[in-house]
Amino acid sequence: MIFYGLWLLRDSGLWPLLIVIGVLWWIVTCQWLRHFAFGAAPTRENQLIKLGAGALVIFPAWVAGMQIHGQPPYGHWWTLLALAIVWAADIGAYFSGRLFGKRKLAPTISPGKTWAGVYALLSPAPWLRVSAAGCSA
Amino acid sequence: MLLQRVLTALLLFPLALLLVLWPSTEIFAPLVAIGFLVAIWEWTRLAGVTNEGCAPACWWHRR
Repeated sequence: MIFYGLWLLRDSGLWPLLIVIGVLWWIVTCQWLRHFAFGAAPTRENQLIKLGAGALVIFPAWVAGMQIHGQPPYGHWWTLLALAIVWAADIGAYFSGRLFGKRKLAPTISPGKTWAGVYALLSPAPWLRVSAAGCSA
Repeated sequence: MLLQRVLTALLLFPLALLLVLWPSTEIFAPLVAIGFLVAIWEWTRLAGVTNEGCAPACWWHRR
């Protein structure tokens, strides 16, 4: 229902606002990860905070995705590019972590991730993979 | 585990490609919304929201 409402409001100026809010929220989220004990206790209040946090991620993400997808003439391809960058980075991080991963990145937050994965992420490899795929297509 | 991951990716990749490139945004939007709803549901469980104390009407939802 909310998605449908957002769709109806797509030309209203609400969408750019939501996208900005979504981006700002991700900055807040990074701070939350640094103080990950915040909201960890399973109280009613913390539940509500987490539901709000989820909403601030999901709805701006959907709005931004649809904004990109609906942009002629290449919106579909831009959407695919956005996904492809994430896929390539994740695949690279996964395999380099598998091969070289020794030192844990953030054991308290996400126990599987290693620094080797970060280096693969920051290396030019994901961009190369995406552009190679783009050129061969 | 690795084989399963790779096979899943190979199977889903053409589907993802089709989903993104083929439909118009009017079709794409509700399809993605469905996926996002599943994500929201998953998130409510992570946030610790359960069906306990929920009306008998949703007893089937409890597992």
